[in-house]
Amino acid sequence: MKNLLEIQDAHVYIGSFYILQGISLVVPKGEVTLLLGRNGAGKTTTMKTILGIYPPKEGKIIFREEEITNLPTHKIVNKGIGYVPDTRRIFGTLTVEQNLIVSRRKATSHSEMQERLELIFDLFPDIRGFLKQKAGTLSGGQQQMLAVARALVNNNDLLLIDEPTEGLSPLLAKNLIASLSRLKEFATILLVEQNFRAVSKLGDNYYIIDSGKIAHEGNNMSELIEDKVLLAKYLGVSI
Amino acid sequence: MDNESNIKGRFRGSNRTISSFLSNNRTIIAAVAFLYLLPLGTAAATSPTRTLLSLMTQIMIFGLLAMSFDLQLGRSALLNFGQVALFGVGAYTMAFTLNSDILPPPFNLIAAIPFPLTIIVAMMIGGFLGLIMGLTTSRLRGTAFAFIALAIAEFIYNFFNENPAISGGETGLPVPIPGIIRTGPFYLFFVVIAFAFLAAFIGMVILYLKKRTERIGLILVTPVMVVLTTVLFVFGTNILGPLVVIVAFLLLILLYWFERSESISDPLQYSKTRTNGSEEERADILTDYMLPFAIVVLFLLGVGLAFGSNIAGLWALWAEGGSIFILKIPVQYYLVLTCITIIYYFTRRLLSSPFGRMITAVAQNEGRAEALGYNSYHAKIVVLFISGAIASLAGGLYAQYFGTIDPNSVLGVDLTINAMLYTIIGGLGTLFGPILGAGVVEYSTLNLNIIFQSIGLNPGLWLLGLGVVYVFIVLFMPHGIVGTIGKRSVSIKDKLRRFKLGNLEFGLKDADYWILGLLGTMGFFLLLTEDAGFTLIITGIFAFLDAFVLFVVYYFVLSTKDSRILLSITGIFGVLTVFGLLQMYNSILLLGGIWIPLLIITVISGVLTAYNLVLINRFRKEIRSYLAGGIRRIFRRGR
Amino acid sequence: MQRVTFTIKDYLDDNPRVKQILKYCVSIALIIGAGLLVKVAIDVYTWNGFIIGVSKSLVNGLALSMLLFLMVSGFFLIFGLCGVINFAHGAFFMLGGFMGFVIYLATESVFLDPTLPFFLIFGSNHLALSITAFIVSALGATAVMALIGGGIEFFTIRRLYGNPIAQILLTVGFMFIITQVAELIWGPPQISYFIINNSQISYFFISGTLDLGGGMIFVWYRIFLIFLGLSVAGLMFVGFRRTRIGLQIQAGIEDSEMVEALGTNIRRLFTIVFMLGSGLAGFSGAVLVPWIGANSGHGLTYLIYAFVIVVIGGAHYGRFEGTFFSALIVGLSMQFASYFAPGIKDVIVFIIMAAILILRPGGLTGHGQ
Ligand SMILES: Nc1ncnc2c1ncn2[C@@H]1O[C@H](COP(=O)(O)OP(=O)(O)O)[C@@H](O)[C@H]1O
Ligand SMILES: [Mg+2]
Repeated sequence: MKNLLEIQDAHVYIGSFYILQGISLVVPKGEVTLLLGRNGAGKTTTMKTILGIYPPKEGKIIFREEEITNLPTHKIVNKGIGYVPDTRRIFGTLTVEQNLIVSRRKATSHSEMQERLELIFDLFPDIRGFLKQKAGTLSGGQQQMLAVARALVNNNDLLLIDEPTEGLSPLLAKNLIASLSRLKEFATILLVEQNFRAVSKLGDNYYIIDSGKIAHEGNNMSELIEDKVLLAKYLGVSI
Repeated sequence: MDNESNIKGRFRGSNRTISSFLSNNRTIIAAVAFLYLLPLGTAAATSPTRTLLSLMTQIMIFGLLAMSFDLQLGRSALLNFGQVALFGVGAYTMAFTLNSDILPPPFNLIAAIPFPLTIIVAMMIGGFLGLIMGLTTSRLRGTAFAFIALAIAEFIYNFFNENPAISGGETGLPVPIPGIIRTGPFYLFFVVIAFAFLAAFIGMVILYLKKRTERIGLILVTPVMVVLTTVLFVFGTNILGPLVVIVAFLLLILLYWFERSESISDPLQYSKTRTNGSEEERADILTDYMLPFAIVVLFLLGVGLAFGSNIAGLWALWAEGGSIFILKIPVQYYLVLTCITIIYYFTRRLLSSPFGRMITAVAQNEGRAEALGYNSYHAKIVVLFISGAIASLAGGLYAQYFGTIDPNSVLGVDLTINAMLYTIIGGLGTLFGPILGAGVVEYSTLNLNIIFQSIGLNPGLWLLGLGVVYVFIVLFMPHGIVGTIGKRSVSIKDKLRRFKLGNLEFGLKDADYWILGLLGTMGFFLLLTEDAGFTLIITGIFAFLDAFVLFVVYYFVLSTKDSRILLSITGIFGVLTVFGLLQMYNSILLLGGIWIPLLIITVISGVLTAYNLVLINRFRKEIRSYLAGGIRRIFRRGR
Repeated sequence: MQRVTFTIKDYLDDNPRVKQILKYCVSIALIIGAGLLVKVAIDVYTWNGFIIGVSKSLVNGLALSMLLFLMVSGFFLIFGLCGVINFAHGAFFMLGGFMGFVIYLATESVFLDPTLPFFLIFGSNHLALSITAFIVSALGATAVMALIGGGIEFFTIRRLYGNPIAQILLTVGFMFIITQVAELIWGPPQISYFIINNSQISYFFISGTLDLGGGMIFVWYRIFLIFLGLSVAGLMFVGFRRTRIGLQIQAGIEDSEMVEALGTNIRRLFTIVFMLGSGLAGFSGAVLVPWIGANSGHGLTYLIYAFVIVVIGGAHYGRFEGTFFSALIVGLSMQFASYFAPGIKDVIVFIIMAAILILRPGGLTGHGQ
């Protein structure tokens, strides 16, 4: 099994709006795949389509060589997908610990969770310090760590991470990306990131989405960074 | 000369606005004219239509309430759980203005306002209460509004409940019937309105026939004419009336033929105006002015003759100062009907105006409407004002109609729930649906209660059943009766447009549906009338149908040998025979006497069915191939 | 003792909003109290009568508040997690009352049947019989209502998620149906059913009064209700902090889509919450029967109380604290008003609601407009 996840020609509507107009992509196992594109291009929608929140009207989604196209969200997630949403969406009225407890799935035993917690504390040592604190009172960077940690509570094969550095200071963003690169050993990652230069070392493959279609794909990030025309056209970078 | 042409032009202009008004509101005019015609037949206190009239009055009052609810929920997505407060305030305003003994001195001056004006007062007060509800709550979105409106309504309810001195408490507050309701001139005033509507109706029919010169035009109008004549014949008191109306209808057919021949030969007529202008002019005058005028006059004369002795009788009773109580039911019916007609017409106009479109936009997506520059707050406030006024009007009419009110009957939350049931069952957002819903529910409640009681069941079971029906409608028929029919009717209309009988094309257009509306209304009300005349009318209709089928359609069958038509006609006659037998059985059992015409019709239908069977035998080859084709088609579609 | 005050203080420091609510409650209480004092000055109340009035209203108010809180938290849970305004909630409460009534009497008659083994235990020990029957009736009513509520969610409301108005219309339909059923079986709202009047042995385990002398007479059952309500509320509170499903529900109230994206079957959670909420309504209805009786008119009355409490507490942003305090306000003010100012006892809650909405449009816990 080479490709962990595969989307075949997905057409997605939200209400009556035609948002994804035939997206096809593959996420090879053990690698980091980047999803790039301007704001409103359809990156988050692609993530939600994988999760079954917006099931595609046409097309197929295959995870571990098994079709998951029209399964309900919780069944898809229970196959081993972790999700870090774009606006963090941590549960502000719960404590950090409770946030992590809520994230544990049935399939993950308590002892297993303890192991995972060790990993989380290893990656984000700060979290140990504010376990008992209300999540709503955390700072932006801490909340983002919690959002990532929530996806690590279970042993997920695939992590969907949506704009993790959004709204973080450059230093915090750098630290976070460093942590993410350590995650590479444990899981396959589909990463949405505006700041593609920061993750250029991380990414093995990339897809550029534009207006709900795959505009460009490749597996050489350094070439992409040099390709000023492409960047200007799809990512809004001035030459 | 100049002046004259100017006047003529102005006359033409007003003529055109009237005719466009008539043509744009065909169904309303036809149905309303019929509704105005109904009470003309009630002369004696024993007349069977009186029960129908008072039921209708109730239905229209609750229909108004439901309509105002629908205006809020269906059009602007405001779920007002305090609707009943608006209704109750209207009812109490009416009570206070009609009875000066209730309120303490400075306030009882309100009773100095004469009666019909008090309706306006009640509407204003209801409108302002709606406005207050709106100002305090409608900045809140949807659900919170439902909470708080309910709390306001409960507050008002409790206020009245705890002050029996002004609310009447448990025993209720007597509301005197306004004196004017029982006077002859007031009655006559409505009779005049009735005649005006009848004139508008016949004018509309004339305009329709002048435009619809295809064969189908006459075919469609004929049943209307037949049924109307029969109604006059059965309910009227003077045989001359229907005869005059028949003459009017004959003239109508004449007019139709004139127009038809003209329109058929039209393409060849390009030179006519040039060579023979004066003749053209004369023809124009004949078909544009003289004939229509004669028809209208004859029609009104006929109606007047048919019901003249009724009207004169009631007037005479009043003049003698005798039993004026008889006037109560027809006059109150007229009053409520007039109110509902005006309100319905203006609400419909309002909703199709740019403002109405703005309301709908706000309801569909508040955020987006605001982004487009609509002020959703204003839209909601205005809707609440209007619908508050309507609900209050309903309350006021309720108070003067029922004669006693108490906090439970006019301010109880059940009334809001009832309004909701009517609206959902009739069709949310359809404006007419809620009125129909009120009719269906009220009528069923009345009758099923009696039926349930007579077979020893608890009448509460019906309410339970109503709740279940309601839940099913919410779940599976979210558009209610009217909405669902509306949705279906698109495809049905399409089929009817392409429907063909032999070489006779029906090709029903939108403009034709008023006839179905009118016939439906008539059928519905005649069905509700517990009158022996109903059987006669049914008989008349079926006699007409028999004759119609016999003379018109057979011609096509024998000339086209179309087996489809043959089959359907056989079906029709079969049904007619069975129906005739049933009716005969009914009338022998219940009414006695009038079964002879039924017997004749049944025999004719039976003979025709038999004859059809012979024909079927003769055409069996065609029929078999047709049926085989049909079956093949079905299977092909299945694959 | 030291320790307890410490934790409460900690808790208040942790939850500034609760502190704020408490402040509001205190100020409202002060206003009401000041009004009452004026009233006392004007009226011819003796000091003695005033104390009696206050203490009686306090006991009754607290008892009512606790049960209102239980009922409303069911309503609030359903609204918070599923976004459904359950207009049938009052009807659930009312039906819960009847279920409690019926189950109590049925249990009693089973226990008193000489042919059954229960008779050996309960035949002569009426106290044990009554207590057991009461527990059975409360739990039975909870279970029945939970099943009814869950069934309604599973078979009908589930189809309409995403269409709030249709949901409301649907729950109104169920309110209508349940009310009609109750009226069919038990008659119109003019008739109230009390256990003790219908019991075969005319006995109920808490029926007496507590007489402290000097006219200070309290009904035992209402005192019992305070503790029952408090303990169930405490149990619920702990349940929501400690159990996984409680946490999931809390998280779902905040962001149900995210809870689903973490792998929870949200639809199942909705059904569970519906069962829980309806069960709470049934429970509070059943245990209130010995006091207020079972009555087919209660559906609407208590629905309106639920609305008022939720509006005062701040339905849209608030949490249980807001609901708890607003239940206290409503229950206490109703009882105080009915003792001191019977003329306004039915409108007092609406007046308070209007006042709070004017002061804080979002309710106690809301952020204002
Ligand atoms: N709930 C929604 N309703 C309608 N349109 C939406 C909705 N969510 C997203 N969209 C539209 O879908 C497009 C893609 O959005 P998204 O996937 O969030 O973009 P991004 O690539 O920035 O993550 C945008 O144009 C957005 O306006
Ligand atoms: Mg995004």
